[in-house]
Amino acid sequence: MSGLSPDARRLLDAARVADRTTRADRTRVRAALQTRLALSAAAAAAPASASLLVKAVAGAALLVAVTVAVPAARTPPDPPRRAQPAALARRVSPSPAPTAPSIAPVAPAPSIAPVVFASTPAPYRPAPPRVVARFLRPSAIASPTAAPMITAPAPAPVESTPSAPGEPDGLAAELSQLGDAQIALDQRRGDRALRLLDAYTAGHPQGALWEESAALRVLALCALGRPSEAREAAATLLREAPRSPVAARVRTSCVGATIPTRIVEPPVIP
Amino acid sequence: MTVVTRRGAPFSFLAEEPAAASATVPPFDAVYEDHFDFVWRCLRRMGVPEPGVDDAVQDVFVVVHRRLAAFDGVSLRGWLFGVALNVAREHRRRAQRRGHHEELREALEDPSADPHEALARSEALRLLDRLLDALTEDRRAVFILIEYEGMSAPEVAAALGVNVNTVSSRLRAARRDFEGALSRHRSRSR
Repeated sequence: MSGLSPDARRLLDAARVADRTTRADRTRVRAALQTRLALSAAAAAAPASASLLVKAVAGAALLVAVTVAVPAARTPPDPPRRAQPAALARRVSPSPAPTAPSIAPVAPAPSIAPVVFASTPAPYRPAPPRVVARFLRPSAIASPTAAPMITAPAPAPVESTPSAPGEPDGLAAELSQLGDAQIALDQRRGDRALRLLDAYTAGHPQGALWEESAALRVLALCALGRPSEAREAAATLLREAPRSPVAARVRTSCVGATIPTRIVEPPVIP
Repeated sequence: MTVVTRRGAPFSFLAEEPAAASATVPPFDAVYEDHFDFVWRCLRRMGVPEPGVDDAVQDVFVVVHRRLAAFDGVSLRGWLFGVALNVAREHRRRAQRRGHHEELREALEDPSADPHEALARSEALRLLDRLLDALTEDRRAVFILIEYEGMSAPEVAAALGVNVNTVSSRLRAARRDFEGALSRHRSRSR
């Protein structure tokens, strides 16, 4: 039963009739989406990682490599695999690495349609945007004869890469901010990481990457030796998003033993 | 050329496998084909300006591509609406930052727009959007999903993560607000 007046009902009916997309709309958006996801797939297929957002922000042709300093205890080395979020982290060289990771050129973007729309339904392994936008600059281009990756000794001041037209600059901004927090964390500057995460939360209260932010917060609190707060943050995250891709990582943090592995799952609100 | 990168970190805490998809997770292609219209409509009715809706739809499906494995198999439309709701918020904020003038200019300069067709097509939609603007986001979401999209209250409750009673109360309030806005509009038009 509607409960609406006939006038309101007529308006809704008229609007619904008019509210139709065209084939051109579908085709246009599909093409743009394919491009974005193809860039993501190409980046994920590279030995070093780059995200679709990063790629799109800085330009489709850029080749990128990112070194990650991941404590061995946190992320044991594992052979790289294609298009898997975990591989983005495992692909990097834990310290000390038996062999330095080398940079190969990112493969040209695969033909678009198979990359995007022939995706395997299950198990579904989407390639998430996990790399910080500002890593991708013209200077961060790999050539076919690329030398082993050079790791800059100290991060430059935080800055953001302007978004390219059509890029979801909100997501790029989120990604950049969380990347800054990750860097701070890797530098063992948990206090700075927390400040950055606070700023992220204030700026993006409904951020698309809130799960990642929450997971970073847990890790930062662990790094600062504040396990009770870390447990609280972890519990919140796992309660809200028990099947989040970051949940497993949180469970292996300092709070792991205290967090139940199965939590009653609320309705999914991405 | 030598590769030079900063010491940085893609989100290295993602060192674990993502949750495996359930058997009920549809392929991405099917999700796109079957729900493109729904996503588009929801974004527009949740206040994403016309010039930005292409980008917003892309944003939704980028997130869907990334998180489809986490879909619980209960209500795909509800899940998609949850994604669209977050994306719509961000795009509304962005539009506000850019200012309505720029949005309007872009709309007017849209070379693909047929003025006559656009006018006929958009009159009802424009009024609808104006009336929807009188609703809070919570009420607006419920109103759109139930009154416009024809979803059931339990489905909406699952989509929004609230109970059915909350959905009912929001719907009542939304109807009241919508009718009030419509009535005011009619009064001004006379």
